[in-house]
Amino acid sequence: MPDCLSSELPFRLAGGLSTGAVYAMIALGYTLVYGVLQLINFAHSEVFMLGTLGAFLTVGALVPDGGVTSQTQGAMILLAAAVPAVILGGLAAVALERVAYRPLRRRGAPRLAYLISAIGASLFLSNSVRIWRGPNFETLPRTVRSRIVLDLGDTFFTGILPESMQRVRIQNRDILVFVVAMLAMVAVDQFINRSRIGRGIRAVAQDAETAGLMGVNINKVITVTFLIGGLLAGAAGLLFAWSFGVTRFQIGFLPGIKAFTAAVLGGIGNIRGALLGGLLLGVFENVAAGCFGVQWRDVVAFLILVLVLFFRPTGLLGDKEAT
Amino acid sequence: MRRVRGTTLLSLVMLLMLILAACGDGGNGGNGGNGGTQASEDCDPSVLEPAQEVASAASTDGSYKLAQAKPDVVIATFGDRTGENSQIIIPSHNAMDVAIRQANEAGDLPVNLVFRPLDNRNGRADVAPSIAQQFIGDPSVVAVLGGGFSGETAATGQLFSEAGLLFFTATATRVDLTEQGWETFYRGVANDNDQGAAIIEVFENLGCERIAIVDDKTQYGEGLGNVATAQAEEAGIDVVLSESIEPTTDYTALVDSVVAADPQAVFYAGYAAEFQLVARQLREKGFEGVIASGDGSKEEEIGQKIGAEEAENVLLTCPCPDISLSDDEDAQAFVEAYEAQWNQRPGIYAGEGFDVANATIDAIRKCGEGGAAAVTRQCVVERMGESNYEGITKTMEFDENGQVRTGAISLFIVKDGVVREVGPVDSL
Repeated sequence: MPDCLSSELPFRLAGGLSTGAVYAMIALGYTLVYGVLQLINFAHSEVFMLGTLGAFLTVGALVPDGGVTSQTQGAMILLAAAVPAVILGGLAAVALERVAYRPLRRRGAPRLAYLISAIGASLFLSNSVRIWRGPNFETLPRTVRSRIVLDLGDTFFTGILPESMQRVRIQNRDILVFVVAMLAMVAVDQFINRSRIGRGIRAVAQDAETAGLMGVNINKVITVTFLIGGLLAGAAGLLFAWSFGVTRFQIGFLPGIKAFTAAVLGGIGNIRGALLGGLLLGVFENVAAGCFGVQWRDVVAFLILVLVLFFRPTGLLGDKEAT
Repeated sequence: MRRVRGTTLLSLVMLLMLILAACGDGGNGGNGGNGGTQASEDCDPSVLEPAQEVASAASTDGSYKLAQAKPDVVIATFGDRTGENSQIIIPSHNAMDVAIRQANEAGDLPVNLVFRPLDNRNGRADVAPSIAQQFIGDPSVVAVLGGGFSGETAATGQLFSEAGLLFFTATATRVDLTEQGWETFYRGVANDNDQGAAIIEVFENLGCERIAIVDDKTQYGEGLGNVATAQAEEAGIDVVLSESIEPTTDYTALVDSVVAADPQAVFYAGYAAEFQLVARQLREKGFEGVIASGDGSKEEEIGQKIGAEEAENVLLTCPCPDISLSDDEDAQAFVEAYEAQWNQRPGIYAGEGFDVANATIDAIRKCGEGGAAAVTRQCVVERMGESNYEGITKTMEFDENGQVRTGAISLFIVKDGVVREVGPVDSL
């Protein structure tokens, strides 16, 4: 068993789960919209990008000129920035639905029209931001420092841990991103399964026409679906912008594709599948980078997708009743 | 079920098309008051002392008189003037402008020099040929001072050579640019053979025995990384990790690989926009070893972009000694003129840009002795081949491949968020 799969594996988990958690949050948007509309919302990556932009603008406005004076102040600013980022994501997603998809629904347009509209919306949004903010990276002012909070090689119980575990180092951002993703998933899951609108969403996902006949307000359901996905993408945007300290007009492209891959991997249309797919993809990528070299990271991610679909076309959790 | 399959298949096809369509953007003097180092065996860059700054008296009269009634002759340049790494290129362009203004003001040329800088955002190799054609097709252009990065230079060298147009770079360092047989190509700066060797020399001096080398898969980064790897092997330094990664934002996988390999030093061969991310993410994951990069990362703000704490003791090499540290009279005169015109200190490659422009002007002057009509592309190229122009960074004298014969690599260190020169690597 090569090192990269045995002794290095626990070490790679922290980074993999952290990256994967971001994928999962974005993947949720793809999966929900697909479940309800059978549409791949390619513009969702730009909703994420707008989340990073919202975070950047807010943090930029709130951080005093000389930098933050304490980590607490930084944390407060970050928390405050979450609000506009998340709201911007939600608004963008809802606006997207109204402008890019609803007119097509009204006219009973063929599938291809939705796809083209999605790609068009994606290009429109990213290029608008490019014209407004310029094409280069913009750096966020520092708020909370990202650093190691748990180094398993340096604790009082290190001696009893196996060597591979001793290498594990966990950053505060790994924990934060993972916890937020899990909480978000649980919240959405509960919402879909317990609330009235959630029931409506499940109904529309099963059979839109019948749901309409049973009195479900289809437009409202669809709007809420986009809203939820957008809110989560906005949150993912904030976490991503804080983790890496930058934003840019095309920053959503790669995470968007990875998240979409994760959604398909987990079973598109399935919420838990989005979480599973995201986390698995993040871990796979990181482990594969260790085994084959970092430049193979993206290739392996897509290769895994192809393999899973080959043997299990509906994705890992795909044939379970989900939304 | 069928519906799922069909849409999934279509989505996969779209996905593949998107992936194929996606492309990563990429791009790339005698000193006073040297800093130095005590001999060190534990691979610790904090022993390096930055050189002392020479105080400069700024402001000369920056007036610019238009020369009248002489034919115009264009000196052109192109490079990343607005992209994410434009800070690496703008100072050299500004310096060229200073040189050309000074030459026009001196008034001893039979022609009027016009400076034409064009933007090739992010130094894209696929866009560069169309810029080259613009210059080639304009008969008033007698020299092109460029390219900025190695990728765009590689993409256009052949075109300029076939057009008989001087192609004279102050910043592109990839080694094989002078090995392509381009008759009109000249390079006024040391290349990556020297730079790659220099960083290894620095590591040797610091006592680093295990290093990692990462490149960004661009013409510049890959070339530099390969030279560094070869030099490391010769020096007996163990390259415990060798990675290539295209520019991206999330470097988690790379950082984890570096931390797992546990080198004492990491050398990133690439550009500032990505280096700031790599360096910061490495430090945040707890990597405490030396972090170094080359001239592609040496922009003024790199320290602030990485973060004051994380950037402390980051090392940078560059075939571009800091011209404002020179106590040479001509160099100081240039620094004053640059500051007067641009309201800032000369940045990376300013001195080299100034020299490249002046060497070209010198060639034009020699041609111009036969009258304005004698200032032709062919004459300029020929004079450049015989050049021994003494510039403020070096003497512009070339070998048979167009590579300038002299040229030292300098080492820089980031202290308190500011990039400071330590001194020439040779004299560490």
